[in-house]
Amino acid sequence: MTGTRLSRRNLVRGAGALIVSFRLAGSAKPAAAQSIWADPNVQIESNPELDSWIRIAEDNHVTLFTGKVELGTGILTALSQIVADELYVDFDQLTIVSGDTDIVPDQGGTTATATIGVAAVATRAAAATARQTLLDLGAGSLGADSSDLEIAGGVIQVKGDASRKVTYGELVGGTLFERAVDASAPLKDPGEYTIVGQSIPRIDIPEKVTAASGDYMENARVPGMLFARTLRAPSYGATLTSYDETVADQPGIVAVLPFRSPGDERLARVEALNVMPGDFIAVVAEEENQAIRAIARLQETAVWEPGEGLPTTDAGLYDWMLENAQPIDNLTEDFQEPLETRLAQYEANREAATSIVEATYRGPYLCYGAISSAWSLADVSEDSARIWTASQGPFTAREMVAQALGFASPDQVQVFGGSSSGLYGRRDATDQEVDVEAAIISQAVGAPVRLQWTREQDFVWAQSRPPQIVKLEAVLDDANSINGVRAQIYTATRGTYAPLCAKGMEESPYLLGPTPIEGHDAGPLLRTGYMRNVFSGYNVFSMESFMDELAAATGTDPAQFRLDHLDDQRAIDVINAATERAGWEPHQGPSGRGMGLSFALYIRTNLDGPTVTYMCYVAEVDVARDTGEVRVRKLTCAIDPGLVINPDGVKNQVEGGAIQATSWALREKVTFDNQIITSRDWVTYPILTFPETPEVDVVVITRPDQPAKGIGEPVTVPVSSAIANAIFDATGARVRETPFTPERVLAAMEEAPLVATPVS
Amino acid sequence: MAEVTLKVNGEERQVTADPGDFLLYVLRNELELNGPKFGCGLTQCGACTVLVEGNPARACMTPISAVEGKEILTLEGLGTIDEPDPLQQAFIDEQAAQCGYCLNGIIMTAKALLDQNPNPADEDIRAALAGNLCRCGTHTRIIRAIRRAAEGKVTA
Repeated sequence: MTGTRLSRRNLVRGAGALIVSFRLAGSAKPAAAQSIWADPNVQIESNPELDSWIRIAEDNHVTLFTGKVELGTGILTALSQIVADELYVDFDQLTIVSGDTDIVPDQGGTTATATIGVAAVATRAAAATARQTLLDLGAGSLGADSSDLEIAGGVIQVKGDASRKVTYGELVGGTLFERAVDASAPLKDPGEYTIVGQSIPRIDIPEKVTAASGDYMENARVPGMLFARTLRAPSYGATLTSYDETVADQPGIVAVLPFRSPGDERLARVEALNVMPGDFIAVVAEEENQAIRAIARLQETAVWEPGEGLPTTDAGLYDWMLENAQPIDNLTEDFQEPLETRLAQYEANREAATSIVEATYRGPYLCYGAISSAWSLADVSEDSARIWTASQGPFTAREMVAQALGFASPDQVQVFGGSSSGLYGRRDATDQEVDVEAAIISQAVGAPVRLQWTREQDFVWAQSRPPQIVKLEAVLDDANSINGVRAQIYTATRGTYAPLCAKGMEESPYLLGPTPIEGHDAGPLLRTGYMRNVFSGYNVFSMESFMDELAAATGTDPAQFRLDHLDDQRAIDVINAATERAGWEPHQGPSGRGMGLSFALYIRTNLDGPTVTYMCYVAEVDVARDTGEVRVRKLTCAIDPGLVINPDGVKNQVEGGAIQATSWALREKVTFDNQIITSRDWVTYPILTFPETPEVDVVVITRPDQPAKGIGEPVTVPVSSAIANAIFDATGARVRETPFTPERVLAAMEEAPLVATPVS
Repeated sequence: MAEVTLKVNGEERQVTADPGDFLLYVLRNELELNGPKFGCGLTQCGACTVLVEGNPARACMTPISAVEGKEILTLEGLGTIDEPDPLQQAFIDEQAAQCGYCLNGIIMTAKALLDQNPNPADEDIRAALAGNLCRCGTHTRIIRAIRRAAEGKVTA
């Protein structure tokens, strides 16, 4: 068992007393903040000193610093593997340090599947620079040409002469490299990897299953820490009129703090950050139980002036989206041809079509459902602050907290991030509201405060994944080939989210002919955020369901129909691998076996070094014909993410993504009335439970000749469509809206099956 | 507020608390135990589970008056990182974690299950964990880990 642990004790042991805030204050370029997560070169330019990334102690122990945090995907283990291999040290010789904004390089948030595909490129460049530096130093020390040297375990030796050797620690231990990271430093040949490609056990699991001290950020405590809870409005936009002020006299209550807008300068600063949805009352107490009791009393007595609420309920959501949709003008600016060109080509093909098939798909708002409700521990003094948090973006939290506190510089704030509950986007991007709240509460009482959001607040006041409507129309020629697909996408979100939701449609590798894609946004209804695979999920659900409908309409086997429209060998390989493993039998129309297939190529577009991960899922389902209840028996996945860093880590992520996405597909939908979200706990927002969990079988395809790419988001993408297609295969019924509730499946079984519309 | 004696992991611990105080916050904030986690505070997710007299209990809404004088076992009471309990070791052997935040409750619930039924079928394991939520989707590995522990096939 590997025993590298992420604790202060090991940090000190690993690299000695030299680790004191090496990252130079202000060295990160603010202009880079927008793209730093997406571009390894920006990460290097923003953190040019090699000493910010890698340190070597006199005992030959290596410490690696990363701006990424462990959310349960195993990235700290994977990054450690990459660097240990690149540096020619043993895996146990390396300790990784994560998340403390005073000592780690800013690599952007842990987001968008950009650790292995993007951040690791920068991290590996640092390791390669360090190795090259050490090799040069070793050559000088040993009086040999560097080409005559070999390295193992951090010991440089003259080839064939074991008496002439020197360790990394002897060369640089306890000192600084004092040189810049070279983005073009020569890299180890992937054929020589000995640690990359191995299923090294995760470094963080032993402490997590034994509650060892460093296991979660949630365990952060500071002396004199007080406990805060908040009461929020019963409807969106409601303002606080009055409350029982005698609550302040309850035992242990330190402060009762109303935050009201307008007029409250603190709230105005915070609202300018677009993170704080309205008035609230904070209670600060000596003990958490006292704060809970005080909030219960306030809930009974607070009087609110109702706000605007919401313009529709969840029952009217899709109609509201269609009624309020506005075209997204900048959608196609990155596409190869203008929309008009594609539309003209599509219309010409449509005129000549043998048949035309159309279908409309829908997916609702979803909740992240992180098991740990949001919390933050803030210790704010007059001109500095420390924040312990489970944020995906400690550096973003640092900037936003500094702004909220009215500080001149983010360097006045130190954020400690680290291992936490899975977040799935919940604490991504600007979604640092809980840190901001904890900071302004701590500032108000002049003491360290741990703020805990309730489960209900995490449902009602956090962001949701935006909903989507996707209308698809395909032109088929007389050879049953697709000769054009028109996509019209509708969402209800804000800012950059909407065009990105629509751009996700552009990822298809199928040979489809002209593909005009039109995006429409109805604007914000609920607050929306970047939940896992937000840009691909509903598009792939729609497109892969549609491919299945087209296969049925043309009397073609669903797997063969896809292969007929692909020329990308990696795509073909994952489909063949998944169908072979699952025991797929070619068939035309519903086979009754309840097996459905879905493919996806996941690409993050417009980035330097895009993530390119290929997947194919086969779902097996049972459908109860009397009740419409769907049980997913098994999911088989073949995945090709390029070079695989840790095969068991990939399997673990696929298993998890498959099960989480099954939960979305079968169970999940955020409900709301005209006032507020009504999904407010695990009863009103049920997720998949142990008795319902499918078996998951995974085929991992590694391609050492391809760059390593991430998998966290991709593995969830083609699951709902595989299940929908399996429901069709079991029953002949087509469900085009998630979740696949018994009522919806029963209704689909009543409908006539989709038939290609002959051209009149 | 009163002095209350809790028996936690075989030791008597004095705390100052109100009889209505929920056990979870006393364990986490006063005794500084990290095993039981805050998840929902509503007894719905299971992250806070401890064993009281060998039975799983949701610490987030258990008043300490209900557990005074009773044997409380937390994850820390099973084993340590250097000497994990076989059940904990089985989770390491199976790499049965993603974020792992739910595992406190799952391991404690599985501990109670195995104490009462040393050879559970997979269906028994699934049923025992029906009230424990895992959001990352580690279910299949968790089931394998518990089966491995039951079969005694853990790394020595």
